[in-house]
Amino acid sequence: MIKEHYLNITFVVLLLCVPFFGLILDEPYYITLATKVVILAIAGAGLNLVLGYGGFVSFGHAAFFGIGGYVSGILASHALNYYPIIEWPFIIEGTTQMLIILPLAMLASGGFALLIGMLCLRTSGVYFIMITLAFAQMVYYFAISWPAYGGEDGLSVYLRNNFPGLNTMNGLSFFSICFVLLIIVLFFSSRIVNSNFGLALQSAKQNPERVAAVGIEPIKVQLIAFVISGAITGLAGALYTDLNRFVSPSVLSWHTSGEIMVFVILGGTARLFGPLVGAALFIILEQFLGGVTENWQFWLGFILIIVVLFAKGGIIGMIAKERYSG
Amino acid sequence: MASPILSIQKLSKKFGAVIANEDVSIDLYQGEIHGLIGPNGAGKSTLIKQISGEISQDSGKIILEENEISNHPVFERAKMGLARSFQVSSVIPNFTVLENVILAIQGNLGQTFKFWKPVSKNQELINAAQVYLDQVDMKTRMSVLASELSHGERRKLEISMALALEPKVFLLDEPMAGLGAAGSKVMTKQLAKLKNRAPILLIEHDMDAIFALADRISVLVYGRIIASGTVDEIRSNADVREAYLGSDDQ
Repeated sequence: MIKEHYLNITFVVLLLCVPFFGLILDEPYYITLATKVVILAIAGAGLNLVLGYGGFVSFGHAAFFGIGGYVSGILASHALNYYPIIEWPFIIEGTTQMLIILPLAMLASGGFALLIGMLCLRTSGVYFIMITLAFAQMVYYFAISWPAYGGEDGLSVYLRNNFPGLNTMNGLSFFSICFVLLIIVLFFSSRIVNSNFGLALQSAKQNPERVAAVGIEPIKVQLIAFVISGAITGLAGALYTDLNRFVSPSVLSWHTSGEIMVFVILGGTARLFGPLVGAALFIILEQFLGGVTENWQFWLGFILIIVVLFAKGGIIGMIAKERYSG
Repeated sequence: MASPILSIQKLSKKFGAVIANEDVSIDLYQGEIHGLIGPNGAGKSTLIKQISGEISQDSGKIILEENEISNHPVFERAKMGLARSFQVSSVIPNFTVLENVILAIQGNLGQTFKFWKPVSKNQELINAAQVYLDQVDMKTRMSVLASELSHGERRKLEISMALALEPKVFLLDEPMAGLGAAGSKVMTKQLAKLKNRAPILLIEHDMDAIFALADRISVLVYGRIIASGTVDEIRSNADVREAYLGSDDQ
């Protein structure tokens, strides 16, 4: 058995190798793939806070991912058109500055999480799954029927947003930005999980009555986790728009929620690096099995069933030493 | 007489047509153990749940040190000083003994919303938790997962968590259940010490323990208190003998 810590470092090193191989082999596509893994891992890290550590299954994280994506797309498209977002009572211009866009995307998705969290967290179990799904679908249909930003066709952004001192259109630079953000998100997550707040969050997952009986309001703890989770997934959504230079309602559909959930479960729920491993495996399967057969998702489903049945801690749990059973 | 720490006044609750309890009044004073006995289904556990806030009452009042808490949610009552143990012992299974006590301390001190400092490096909290564990002789077991404790140890952990709340009142729901004769003796000693910290409302099936420990006893039958008094008064009360003690063959 390997210590989880060393395993995590191994995965990060492997991930870092991919874009450099891409550079050496002159295959920029590998850099794009690695960037995609990193962004999806950030989205999964957001979900892991509520699904893994908090123990409630959100089937609506596409909403946060998509809201982050649209915040980025809308701000950038206005800046590129030189068309203000609103003109009255004061003028708000678009922007292409990542350092402005990313916090705004997190604020918007975190704000939405606060709004729906207050309602959703009154339920639990299957009802929680359904109500989060319902809210996400509301946002999805709203985006489809909003012609100002492309409706069903989506919204193209011709250039990636800017980051001071870097040319973001260079694949490696953009990868580096995303990678650093992933490391920050994972570091932040590990701090939260091991803090007093994390203790209360994970206790509320196991025994909410007990948590209330020591004077802690479980729903308040869960709501804060839900908001942080939504904001992190929103950050990933904003980066995803930049990666593709395109955002469409499909990022808001329930498929996205399901995929983020698959990253977390494949990699290992309540494992810090679980979402990274899950997202990487997902992309690898998509690329390589997708090249062999159109029905690669059948095999993804097959692997998922194996993992769920036989490896409770996901891939990481299978290899690394068991810590807490999830 | 001094005013009671916890005063339950005419508490009633019906589940549909079933009366869980009716006009139950109990006063709990500083330094005493008030025993609550009664046959199965008499409404003892319902009463504890009403006091702790898990079940709302139809009518009546609960007053903790002159503050009415009748409609406060569970976590607020706990924060105001009601510490309870559960009939089926209730801890956080996948955390260690130490972490369980730390959870109780942070609940009491309102330190839950600290997001940055790792609990495992918070020496102040760890030291505080060790003091509470020491008081129930569980310090040596502090790094064991709660799920791996024996039944008796889990009971002790619950008492330790209750202590960590620095409560004004202990509500203990059958702390001796399933402990066996030796375990009960240890727990009886623990509880005798505990009452110096805060008064105890004690539900217990073990008659020997309750007659040994309690200063006063109330007898609950079909949701009503049929007698309330000192141990000797209860022993000699004809109604109690008939309704409860007689049929139980002491």
